[in-house]
Amino acid sequence: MAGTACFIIVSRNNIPIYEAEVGSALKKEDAAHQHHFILHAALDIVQDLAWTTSAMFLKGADKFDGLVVSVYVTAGHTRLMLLHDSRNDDGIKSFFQEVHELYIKVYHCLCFSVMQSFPSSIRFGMGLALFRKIWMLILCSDSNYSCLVILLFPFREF
Amino acid sequence: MEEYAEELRTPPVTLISLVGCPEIHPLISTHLHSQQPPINTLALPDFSNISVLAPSHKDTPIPYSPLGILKRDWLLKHRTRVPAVAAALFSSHHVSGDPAQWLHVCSDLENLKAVIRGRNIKLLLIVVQSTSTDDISEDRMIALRKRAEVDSKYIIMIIPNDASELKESLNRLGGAFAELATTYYKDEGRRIKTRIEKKSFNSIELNIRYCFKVAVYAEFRRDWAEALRFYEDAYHTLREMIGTSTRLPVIQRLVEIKTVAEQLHFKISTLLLHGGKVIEAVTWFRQHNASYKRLVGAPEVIFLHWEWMSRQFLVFAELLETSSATIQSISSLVLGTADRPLTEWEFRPAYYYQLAAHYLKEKRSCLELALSMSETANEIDVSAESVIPSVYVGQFARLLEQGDGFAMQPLTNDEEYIRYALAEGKRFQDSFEIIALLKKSFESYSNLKVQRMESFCGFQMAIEYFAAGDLTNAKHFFDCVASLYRQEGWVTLLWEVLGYLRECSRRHGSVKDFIEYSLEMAALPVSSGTGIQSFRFKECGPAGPANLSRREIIHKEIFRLVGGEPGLASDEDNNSLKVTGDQPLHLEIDLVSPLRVVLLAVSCFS
Repeated sequence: MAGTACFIIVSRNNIPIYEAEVGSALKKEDAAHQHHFILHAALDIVQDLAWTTSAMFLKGADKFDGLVVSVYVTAGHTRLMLLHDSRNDDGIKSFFQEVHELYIKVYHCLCFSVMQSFPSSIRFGMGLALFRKIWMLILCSDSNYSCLVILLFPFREF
Repeated sequence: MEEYAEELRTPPVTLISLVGCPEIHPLISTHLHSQQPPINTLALPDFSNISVLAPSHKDTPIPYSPLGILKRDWLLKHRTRVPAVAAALFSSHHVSGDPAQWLHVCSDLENLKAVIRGRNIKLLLIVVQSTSTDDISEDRMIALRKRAEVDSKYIIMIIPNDASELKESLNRLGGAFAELATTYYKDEGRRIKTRIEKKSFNSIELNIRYCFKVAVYAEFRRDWAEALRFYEDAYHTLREMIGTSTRLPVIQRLVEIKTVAEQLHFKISTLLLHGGKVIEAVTWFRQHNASYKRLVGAPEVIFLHWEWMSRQFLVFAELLETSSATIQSISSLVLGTADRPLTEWEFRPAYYYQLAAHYLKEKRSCLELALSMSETANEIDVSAESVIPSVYVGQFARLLEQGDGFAMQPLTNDEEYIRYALAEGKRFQDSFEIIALLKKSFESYSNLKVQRMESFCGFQMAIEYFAAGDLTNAKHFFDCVASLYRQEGWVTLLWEVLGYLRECSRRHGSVKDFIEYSLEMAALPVSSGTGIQSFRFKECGPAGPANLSRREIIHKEIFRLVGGEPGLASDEDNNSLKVTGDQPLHLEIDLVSPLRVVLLAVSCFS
């Protein structure tokens, strides 16, 4: 991805849980913290926009001085946000999809470990339906665990 | 927008002229001005004054190659000095009087006809009767009409002393003026349009000028669609001129093109917005921005480009704000095309104010750089004094004394222009303007209850206050934004803001605040990736980049201070910050205090 790009994952509670400067070159090195300000300000428009469409990928949700904010909103309302200056909607979309997959994988690992921590008698004694219910409950409240995800599974390595 | 001349900002109003019988001029001009659409009046009390209506005689060489794109005073001239219709007012006594009086009337009429013929101004006759019983012979009236060469409906009788008759006559007069004025502007527009169609010009400048004129004539007769079309044609032709024109030195050429583009863009945006076409206006602005954003020009005068960009955003913000079309709900708008959607902010003036401030900041830093690089900084003011805007839009000339009068000499080289531009740039305090723009944006976002955008503006505004030395205002805004970043856990942003707040309290000599902010910063979970970030944050706040080593420095500072070592210097009263046994410091940490994390850490590890 050429040019400037800043990637952030924001939890349902609007807390940034992962951040990275991606892209091969930074146009203005001193503008890095400016990117965070732009991304944070873009949350306002994203929170309105997310409810107007069923699409998860919101391309060009916000703009500031030639920089574009593209967003991918997950079912649990975690937002994958990318600030970029190049226009490659397809590339960005597939980037988001890949990150989302990884995010789910990491997240499921965490859920699995949470389930593992239940005593085996309870775990196996539960009906399948109940098990599913708990699983869904954890999935829907992903933000509660998202901080832990980052602590336990460093995203920087993927 | 206030920078633009009045004639550019407001739609053109038809101008007519009244000649003779000055006692009833106020009556007619008041009536015409109250009409819808209004008509302005140029009143000439006597036929001896009609020379002002005559065209100025110029010897235009053929083929004519213009020295500029648009003449600065052309629009004003057509709004205040060149009427569409000239009305000759004669008293009924003179018309029906003795042969000497009749002869006088005829000669006045002939003179007027000769003067207005050069400009194709339409003629109308008004005969003023003192009473309704005044009788004018039919022959004289026919003779008068034949001499004037006008249709009988354009000879109007007025009886100022008869109220009912007067109202009717004034209404007829208003209708006749409006009709003749429309014909005049249509004819003039058609005349110039023919030149465009036949391409009877040898320069691209004339093409733009003609398109502009046709558009203005169309605006005079309120044909907004045609005006818009021709303004757009002029704008596109102008864009093609970049890189092809060689008439002026490089820098001045670009300045002229951008100034004309600005005027054309302003007209187009105004017409679109007043026509209720908000989406088209915003899309147009986006295209305008995209077309010119990269045309920064020569490195010595890049600040001119950023100033120009800032003005584009400011003017569009003001236009959006004043346009009645924005009242309708934004959600009802179809936001742009599928591949290039418009964001909701692009319909809000606040967004444009914010970017205007952003570009003005760019301008300020480029200007400072240009001034610091200029070796002859002291000579700038002296040589730039006699430079004034020339007769063409976007051009400048040197004013030279010649005997009793003055003469304008175009600037032949760019060096002279650069000196002038730098001197002009030095005259303005950009900080105040930047704060004013950000304040507008801040207030607008706060009215919309958009907290994060508001905080972003508030932060930028606080930095400006901080740089200007207004620490009270700076602290107020930093405190506002810090609470949001604290609440949402955006550590990098909070670090930045707390760094400024810590510096504010240090300069103020407020030990308590200084310790509180320092402790909070020392407890922030900042990134450990120090190596990469340290060189990247060239322009970060006074606290430096958010990394572990900076956090450690703050840690040590605060321990030294609390330990009673000689404190840090404070700007206020030359007192240094210190905590002693005599003056202990009490920090209150309640349930919502940001220092709870600090307290937790202290309780755990002590």
